[in-house]
Amino acid sequence: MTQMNYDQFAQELDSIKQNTMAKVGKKDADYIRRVIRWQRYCGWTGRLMLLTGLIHPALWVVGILLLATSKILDNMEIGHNVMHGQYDWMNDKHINSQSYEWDIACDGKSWNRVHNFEHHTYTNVIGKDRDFGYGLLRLSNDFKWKVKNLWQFITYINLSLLFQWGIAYHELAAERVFFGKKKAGRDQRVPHSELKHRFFSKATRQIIKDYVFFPLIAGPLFLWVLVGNLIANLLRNLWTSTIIFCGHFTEHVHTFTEASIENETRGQWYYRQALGSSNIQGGKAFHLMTGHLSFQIEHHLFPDLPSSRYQDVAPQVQEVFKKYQLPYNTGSFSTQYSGVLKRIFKYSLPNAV
Amino acid sequence: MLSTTLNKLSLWFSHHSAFSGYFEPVIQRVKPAWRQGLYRAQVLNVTKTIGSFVHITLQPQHQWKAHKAGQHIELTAEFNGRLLTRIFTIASSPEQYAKDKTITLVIKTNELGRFTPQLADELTINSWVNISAAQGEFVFQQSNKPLENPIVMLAGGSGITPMMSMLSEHISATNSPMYLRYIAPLNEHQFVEQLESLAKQHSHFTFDLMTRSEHKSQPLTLLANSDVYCCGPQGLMSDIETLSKDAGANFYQEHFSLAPIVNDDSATEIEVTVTLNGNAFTASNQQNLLIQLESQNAPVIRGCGIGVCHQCHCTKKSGLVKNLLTGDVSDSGEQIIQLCISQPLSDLEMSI
Repeated sequence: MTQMNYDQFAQELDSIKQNTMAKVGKKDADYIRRVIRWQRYCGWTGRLMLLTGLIHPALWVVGILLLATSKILDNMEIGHNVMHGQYDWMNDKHINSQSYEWDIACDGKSWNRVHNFEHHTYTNVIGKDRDFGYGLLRLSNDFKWKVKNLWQFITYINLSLLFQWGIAYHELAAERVFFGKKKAGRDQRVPHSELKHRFFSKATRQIIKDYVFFPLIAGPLFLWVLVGNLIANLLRNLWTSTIIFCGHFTEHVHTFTEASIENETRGQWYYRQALGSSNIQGGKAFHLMTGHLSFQIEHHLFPDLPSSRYQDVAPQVQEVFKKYQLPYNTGSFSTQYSGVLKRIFKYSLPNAV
Repeated sequence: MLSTTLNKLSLWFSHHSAFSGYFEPVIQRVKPAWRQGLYRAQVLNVTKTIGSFVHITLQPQHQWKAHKAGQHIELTAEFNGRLLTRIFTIASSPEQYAKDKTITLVIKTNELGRFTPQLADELTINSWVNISAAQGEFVFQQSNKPLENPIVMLAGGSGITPMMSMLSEHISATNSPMYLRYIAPLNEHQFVEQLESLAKQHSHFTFDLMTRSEHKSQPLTLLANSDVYCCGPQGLMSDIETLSKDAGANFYQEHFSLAPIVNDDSATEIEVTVTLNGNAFTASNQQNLLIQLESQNAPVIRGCGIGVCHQCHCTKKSGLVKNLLTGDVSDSGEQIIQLCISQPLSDLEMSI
């Protein structure tokens, strides 16, 4: 490929974003409010149905599925996207990146700081983007091999099952490392004490809500509710972790070095987002349940474009990629997920080729 | 006490600062425009009049408390999915509200604005908007005793709205002379019929409709004991204030913020005042806000610096900024902005 014209590439992507933002309006506001309502309905019905297990256990199972769906919608389509600022233009007091908080162990404010800044600015830059492998998994040869990488598949399974706790802890540690350097004359660093406080207070709230309060008010149905909540949280953990791994750790995603991003232009930043992310094909319901992270490429190019628009912009983005001969990494869920598993196994061994 | 406990519980169980926020989107299915902390009001009538004014009659929900003549409200309406808020004086009297539970706003539309042009075209009859409680200190100062002092009212442009409300409310309570001078471009005076009928009914009330040049050529004479009420452009108000002081009259005024004058020409450097959490900083339109606030040790948070990560966002209460990535000029009302890609175009009021 000849030397790419990054500026022109950036202009074309910018104009896709601008044209789409110009169309954003009532339709998108109605959309996110509709998703929020369905999230509430699923959650309420789910929690009530956990109490009907004595009538028929199948009802209990439906309850679990509904509660898990509600949590997935809250975390992915609503929480993740709203906290990215995608719906800030609505000027709604509750649906905006400053005030939204989600139903997950990880404190929203801490997550927002690290995820939006570190992961989205330095996507797949080894040493900067701590989300690449979450400090637990070796997913490219850029990392030195250690003996523990031999059983990293098991580590991965554990991480998936406990994903909300992994994320909660990960963001806490990231803050410590990343904001460790002080800039002269200004203190932007969040004190460790506040981070710890946020971590523990959110975690306590979550544990008491799902594993103490709701089971207790169910009285004799204590165990049904406790186990139901536990399974719903597990299902949410597995789903979110699986989808998120398909976004950056599939077989063909690229990684970058710190040196390569010095003096990076906007075009080069777009280029890195393009090669560092991967999409999953699927139907409308699937995209909704992934919080449109199945459009990870579009999400990384335009992190604050409302998720309701990703399906519209995807064909335009593909067109631009084709013109610049960039790979548009997409595939079915099974292709992408088996790519993730391959990667986890492959880099279990030293100097994989 | 109870509400603090409830809000704490809400944080635990619904992840919202108040339960009402958690339930809001669901409640809105039944009660359109239901919003925590605001009153609902139904639009009963929207009429365009000469001089690009629009008269809007609203019926607030019954919990709304009647205003005092001269007070204003914040009006919030949803236009194409965006909630926009502006402040308007209530033109109708508290008496009207007591009688038929309606209030009337008389609003000058500004075709370059984001809010007022849409009022006339997009507010449909029976649709819902939000209003705040009535607020403001521009009310009759002697309302509790018989009005004795001569009253002089000066209105410039849409500054007529509080005067109409005050006139209808207080005109019968006094026999001392009341004089209104209403300055507006030729043929753009509002409420002419109402004013004429008030003058017919009350011999102590007189008024003049003037253009600005007529006002300049016919200086006001004020008595030492008069109460002077003034609402209009800043220039008019400061002139009248001086005049009142010289005459020994009491002067009361109401500011209304005009749409800020936008200087979108980056070639000319302008300096603006940025009020952040109540502290004033200065900034120029030549650089983004983040760099400038950082250099003055304002409590801002730096993130990526290129408009990606939203770490530097803060809530702009008023003023205009330009988005350096898209070139869009913001709305003048409240919204969340990213400091690193915001160029100030006017004085700003913000909070973090």
